[in-house]
Amino acid sequence: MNPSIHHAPYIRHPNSSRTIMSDTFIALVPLYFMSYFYYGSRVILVGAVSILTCLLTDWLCSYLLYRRINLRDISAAVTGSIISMLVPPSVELYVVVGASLFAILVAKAPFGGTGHNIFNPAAAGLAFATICWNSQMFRYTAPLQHLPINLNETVTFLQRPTATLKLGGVPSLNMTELLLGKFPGPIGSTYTLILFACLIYLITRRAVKWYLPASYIAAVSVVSALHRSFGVGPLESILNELFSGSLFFIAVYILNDPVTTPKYRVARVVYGFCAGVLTMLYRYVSPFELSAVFAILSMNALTPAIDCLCEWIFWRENPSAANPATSDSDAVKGGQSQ
Amino acid sequence: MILLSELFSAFLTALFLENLLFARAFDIPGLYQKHAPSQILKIGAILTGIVTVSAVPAYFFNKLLKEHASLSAFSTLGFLCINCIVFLCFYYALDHFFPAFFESVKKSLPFYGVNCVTLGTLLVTARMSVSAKLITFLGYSFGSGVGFTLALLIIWSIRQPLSMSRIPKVFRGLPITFIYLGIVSLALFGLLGNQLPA
Amino acid sequence: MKLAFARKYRRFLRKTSGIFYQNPILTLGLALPFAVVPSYGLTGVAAVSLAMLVCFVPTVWIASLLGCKLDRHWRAVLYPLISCLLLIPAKSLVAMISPSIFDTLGVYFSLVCVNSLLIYAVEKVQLQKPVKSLVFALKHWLGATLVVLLCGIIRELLANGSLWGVVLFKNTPKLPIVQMALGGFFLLGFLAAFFRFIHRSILAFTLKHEAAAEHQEPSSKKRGETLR
Repeated sequence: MNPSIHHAPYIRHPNSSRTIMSDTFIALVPLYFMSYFYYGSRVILVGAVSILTCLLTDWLCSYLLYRRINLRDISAAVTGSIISMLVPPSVELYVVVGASLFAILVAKAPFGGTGHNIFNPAAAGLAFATICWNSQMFRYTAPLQHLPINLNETVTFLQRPTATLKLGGVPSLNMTELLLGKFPGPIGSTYTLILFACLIYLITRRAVKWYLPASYIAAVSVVSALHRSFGVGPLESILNELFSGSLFFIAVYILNDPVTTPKYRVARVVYGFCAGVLTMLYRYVSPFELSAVFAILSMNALTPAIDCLCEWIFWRENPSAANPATSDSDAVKGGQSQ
Repeated sequence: MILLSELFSAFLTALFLENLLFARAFDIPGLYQKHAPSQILKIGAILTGIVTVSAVPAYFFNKLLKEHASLSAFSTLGFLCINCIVFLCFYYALDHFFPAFFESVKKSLPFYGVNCVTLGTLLVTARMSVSAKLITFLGYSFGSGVGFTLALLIIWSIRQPLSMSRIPKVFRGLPITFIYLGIVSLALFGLLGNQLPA
Repeated sequence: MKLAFARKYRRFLRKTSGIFYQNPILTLGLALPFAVVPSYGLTGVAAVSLAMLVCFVPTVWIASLLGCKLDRHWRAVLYPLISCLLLIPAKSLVAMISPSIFDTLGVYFSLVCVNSLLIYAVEKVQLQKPVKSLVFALKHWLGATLVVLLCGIIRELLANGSLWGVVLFKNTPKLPIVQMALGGFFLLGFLAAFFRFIHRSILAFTLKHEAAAEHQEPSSKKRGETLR
């Protein structure tokens, strides 16, 4: 007999908010090692600042709302590390702090904290930083050049391959460079091989459902194969679009946030596909390079609508045959956020 | 073909880029009231119909304004008159041809006939297009009407998850809706870039 | 339960209905375009609130004079037309504030004549007497203006460090994002939450000694719910 009283859904499952979040966090750690090897100790500082800001702000919000501070909830740390992975290594620290503050204070705490946020906090924070400090967010340095903690005049800034793609050119990168991430880019989102390994780890740990990134990448590939610049093969165009920026990182970490994705399997596939198409649309139209973040934010806004549409289509025909939450981990309320 | 593509681009611009609610913050009375989706579709149909029909006289009035600069003081009044006349025509036409539909919307029809959305769309179209064609006017007006309907539907769809989640008490209702609108607006500003909509 | 204080607070709320209690922007969500976009700075606030004073208040007064004599659809047409006619003298008044004000405000200045606050207020004063309706209109105008003014001050200070174009703080970090539409939305959301927090904490203060006076508990609780 269990004397303690709990709220209604009595679901027992090995997956919980904590396991999924710690899996994601474990999958983020190798990227830190790689970026330390590429850019020096400054990236560790950036990561520590953003993670600490996110955690402290989250605890402060729980304290202000008279809620118990949950030390086992590390979703804020995941938000912080994702933010630090998508900023350039030469970024000023106040940009990181601003993005983290916005992520927790506006996109997470007012919506009810962990497990209730409609928008992905990391995506919202990055979008805010992109609009606010446009020049700061897009100055990259060459890899294998150890940065000083305090930036000085000796650091040279480069353009990144995504900017070349935006202007209609073709970045001259060979396969090895693409796979190892040996080109100017954000701190932790250019190492394609490691990201693949992390994705496989997350899928085997059931923190990520395979069809969501698959549909997203399929949509991106279709659009980039159709809309390619002159003299470029479809495969090369797809590879350039996928791996030369932060798109693959976003497909692995931000897109799969279990809270902000729809509930049903069909809805998730539709969500991923729409997000992919929107990402490419943003990449062609918008003035910013970090386009996938905005696309995912706007798709997050549509998530309840997609769910409603699915319910309307399937439940209206015959209510018994509806396919409710396919995965057990989604049913765990009080859930998960990245 | 060129005409069609112009129509389509104007339609898409009004639908996403310069969405009336998210990018320009135009509202209608009773924006946050609880409506059923069928009601929202009715409201949207009324708004879209009035805006699209009044785009035609607005186009010719705009031409007249461009030729006679002295009339510019009365531009708002002229557009409002066009809006009101179209609304009255709509009202009596609905009464005459679709009595069943008219009965269901009779009470709310006046509030959705003349408001920020209808007049604002006409004013925006008159401002932005210098060498505009009629087809652009039509596409833009139709797109803005549809876009506003979509925005209303999105607000409706967000209502249920918001009511079920653990929102702090001070944020329930209107404040969280404002913050939601703000974040959607942030996502749309990724398309627009660093510029204010006029 | 501090009964005297509670009564005082309640009377205060009733008297300031439209200004603090049932504020047209923060609790009713009306006149959204003016709270979000033209409140980028103090000049915009001044222009919009002046135009609202000239257009909105007389129209509501005329509406109470006419009462229910007109049909609903004629009312919906007539009152925007009246306020649009009043917009023409308002335009010359506003032009004194700054010469380039109409360019920065764009369509939002013309939209003063059809805003949702006007449509709401015109329907609300149907059965009221003219003097009472005038007070009603002035209160709602004041409530909207105060909120827009607060927004304007915060946004201009955060974006440029200036007030009415005069630079006050030179070396503060600048956030141009606040002057966009999304900054207005966020600011309105947080302001509404903040004022609701103040209201709730005052209510909590009045209900503090609840245990001492238990016989008054039901009525006080009901009042707390109906207030918000």
